[in-house]
Amino acid sequence: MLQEWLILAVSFIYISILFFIAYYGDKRADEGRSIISNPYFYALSLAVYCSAWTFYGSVGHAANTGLSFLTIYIGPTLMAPLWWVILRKMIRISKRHHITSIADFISSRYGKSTVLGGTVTVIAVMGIVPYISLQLKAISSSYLIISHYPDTLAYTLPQHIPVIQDTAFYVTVVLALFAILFGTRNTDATERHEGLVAAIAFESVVKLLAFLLVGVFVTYTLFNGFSDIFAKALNDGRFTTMFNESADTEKGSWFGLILISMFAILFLPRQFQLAVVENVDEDHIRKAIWLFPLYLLIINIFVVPIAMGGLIHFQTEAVDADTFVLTLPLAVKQTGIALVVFIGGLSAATGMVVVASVALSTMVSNDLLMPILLGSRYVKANREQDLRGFLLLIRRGTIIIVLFLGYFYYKLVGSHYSLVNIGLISFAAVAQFAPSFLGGMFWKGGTRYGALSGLLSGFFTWGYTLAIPSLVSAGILPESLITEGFLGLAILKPTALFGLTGLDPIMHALFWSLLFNTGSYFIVSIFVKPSAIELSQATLFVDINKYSPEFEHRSLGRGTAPVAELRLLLRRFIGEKKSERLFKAYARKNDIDLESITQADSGMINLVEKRLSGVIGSASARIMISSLVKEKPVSLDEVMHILDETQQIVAYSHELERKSSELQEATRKLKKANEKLKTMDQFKDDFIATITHELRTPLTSVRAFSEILYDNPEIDVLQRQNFLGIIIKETERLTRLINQILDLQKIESQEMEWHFNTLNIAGLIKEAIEGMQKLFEEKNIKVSFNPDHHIMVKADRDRLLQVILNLLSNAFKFCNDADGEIVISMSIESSNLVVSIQDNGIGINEADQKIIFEKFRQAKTSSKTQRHAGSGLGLSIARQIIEAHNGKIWVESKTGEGAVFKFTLPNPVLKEQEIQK
Amino acid sequence: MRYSVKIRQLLFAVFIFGMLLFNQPILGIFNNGTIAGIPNLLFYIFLIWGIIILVMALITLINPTKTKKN
Repeated sequence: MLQEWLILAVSFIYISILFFIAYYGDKRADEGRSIISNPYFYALSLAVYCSAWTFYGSVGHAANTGLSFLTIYIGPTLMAPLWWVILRKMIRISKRHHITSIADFISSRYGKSTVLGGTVTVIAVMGIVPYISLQLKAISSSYLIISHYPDTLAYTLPQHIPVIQDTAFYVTVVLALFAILFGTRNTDATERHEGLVAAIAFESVVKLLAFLLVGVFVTYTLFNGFSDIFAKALNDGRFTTMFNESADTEKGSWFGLILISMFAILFLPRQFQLAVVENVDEDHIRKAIWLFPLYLLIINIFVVPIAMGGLIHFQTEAVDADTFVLTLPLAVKQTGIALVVFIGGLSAATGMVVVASVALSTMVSNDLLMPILLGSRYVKANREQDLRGFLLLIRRGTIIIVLFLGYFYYKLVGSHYSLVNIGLISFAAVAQFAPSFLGGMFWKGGTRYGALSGLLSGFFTWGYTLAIPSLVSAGILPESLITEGFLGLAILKPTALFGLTGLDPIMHALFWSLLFNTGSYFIVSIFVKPSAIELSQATLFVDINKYSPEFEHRSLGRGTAPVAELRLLLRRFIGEKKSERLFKAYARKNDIDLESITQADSGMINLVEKRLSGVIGSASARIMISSLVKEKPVSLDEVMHILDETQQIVAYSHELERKSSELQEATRKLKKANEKLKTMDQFKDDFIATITHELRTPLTSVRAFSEILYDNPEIDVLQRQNFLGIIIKETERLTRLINQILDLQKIESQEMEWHFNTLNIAGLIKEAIEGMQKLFEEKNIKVSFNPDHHIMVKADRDRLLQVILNLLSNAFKFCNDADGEIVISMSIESSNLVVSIQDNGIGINEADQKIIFEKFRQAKTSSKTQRHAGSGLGLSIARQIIEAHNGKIWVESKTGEGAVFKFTLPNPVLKEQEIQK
Repeated sequence: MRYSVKIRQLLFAVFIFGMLLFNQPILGIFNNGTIAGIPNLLFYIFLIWGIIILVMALITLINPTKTKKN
């Protein structure tokens, strides 16, 4: 047994150290040299998760029900990897929107709804107050044990202790003082409480060391290490099922507990406060992801050994397993260790209480009281009054109210439940935030009424299935409610709702409440249309990364407000100095002269509203602003339009990416085209050279012969006739050449007039052959054309004749000189007329086969026969004509084996009448 | 950005594996017996817990500077 004065003195010193650290932390923050701005402090402050419940309750839980206590720490460990996405987004949204609590987060997401903020606040208070009372109970009973052990007085129920002698009462007062001093330094709740965070981190270290101390003491002093404890425990028949999780998992509670603690680490108000509001740099998450689970692992290493040690040591003695960490050292007269453990427990409990009360007071004042108070006549009447004092008073008052609610709850019912049960009831309450919170963060479709109905149905189910039974067992409500059900209806039994049995009470409540909560959230969200502000908030939250803060300031909201009024408003809440600094910064950034403008733009209005949100909550800020702003009602379509526009900006950058790749493709094509153009240019040059040559040759001979005739008038008639014949021939050649060029130009520029008629192709070919008959005979070339049928096609007679003549003259030119032979045939292949003209000349090599139909091109091998050949335009013209008939022309040939020119014409009609030979 | 996505995916995988490893039916395998004097289930849970923490520490070490503002 320890002297009370010693315990009090040590406690006083410990608390003083806390005050000092908090003071020092704030001082450093004011000087701009933060001590908490590193991931280690961040991770340690998150360890506020380990409250007295962990410190005392884990051992009790392990001793009573086995390993399922571990789920409370496995859950957060499994949530930690998801922090990378979820917590990061929570922090980003909260910083951007100046959000200071879960209530504000949910309220702001669903259109800055006061009702929703108030609902969340009520749930949080109802859920967390029992949790606070649990901490007070732990402090009180640990004090009684350490000061009276082994006196049975230690087990006096808290109701029977007069308030004036109750440690918990004094602790409550001191904690209220601490929370007020370091949790409400400023009206702006978005400003971090660095001193508070530093103190919490320090407490995390103390409780961890204290727990490790008692763990090592029990394991290695009372016993001979882990294997000794477990060997003894396993020999004792009582504990064999303890290391067997099947009992828990059969009821689904193992998984359920993991799930509930995953939600708890995100949505417990104290976790939100430290992980989101007090976060300095979102990149601290990176280390916290593994540091925090590591802390949880370390603090749990000795839980089972201590539990086993206590069970073995006390055997049949009636010692509450929740107190093993204290009673084991006390039982062997190690009062020093017991004192350290007491301080450890104190640190675990106070840390939780302080942060939870600060977080709850922000919620209660900003989301419950402010919307009411700011509408009051007092606030409206004194338009110039500085409201900062008023605000702080309310926030401090709510801290005291929250803490004493916890204290009275502890006095009333706290003693009936083990630590773990109360803790889990709180967990189940905050789990109700999960659907609307996570849904709101990742699903734009969630609406205000969906969230409200989800929260309310979940909360009422929670109250009915968990809170009411706890009041029954505290003797406040009649027993019959549990055994017979509400109004005697068995189907409404709070612990077996709708006849669901076989689950433990927590899992039973969790199942029904989350079912109703999630179900109504989604169903109502889907069927009730959102308002404009809900829609815009939904998009701003869900797509937080797509919108720049500048955009939000500017685009949403269309109203104007008098600048003077805005300045006055902001000054009332954050003071003149900060208010003016904000306005000046805005003016500088946007190049506005503050003194000359009277109406504020929407950017400035948004800025003021955001800033006010941090002070009085988003719903209240909305109310204050809308009383000043003459706002054109923004329709749903407009909001959609604005959001669309911004989306387009984001889409625009994607578009740019796409465009640039398109551009690359275009460049590639352009390069290719350019290459082609270059060769074409080359061909053109060659062609012009050729054509000039072709034009000059006949011109030269025309001139030469004309000069001869001119200079020699006495030349004899025969000679003269001969010369004139040559001149005529050469000018004909010139005319032909020029006609060809004109033809080509006409076809290409689509000026050619076409006269399509149905004509007999065999007759046309015969006509062409007849026209060249003389030439063939001169050169002794055998021409054979023996069609079986008349075939009719629709074609331009003259042009087609031109093609055939061209092909025939080509064949003629390249035919063997000795025994030239030209074979013409026609047939119908797959509903096309195919005409082929075959010679037995020198042939065309494969490379040239492709190019001879291009204009300006001639087969290279033809250079030596160029004097026969014309311009190299003939085939090109032929191709153009055939293509104008929707046909094709090509050549099949091998060098030295002659060539077959073929062309097709579509839609031939075969005449049955045979051709008479 | 690239690193950030990679970390996100790896961490999500840790979550999935953790969920599987810390629940039935895998836990049922370790119901009886001891390892080094420690009950199997207890040993298993702490082992997996430690491994998960180690893996998360390694994943988040990937290129610590580049992802800062992504």
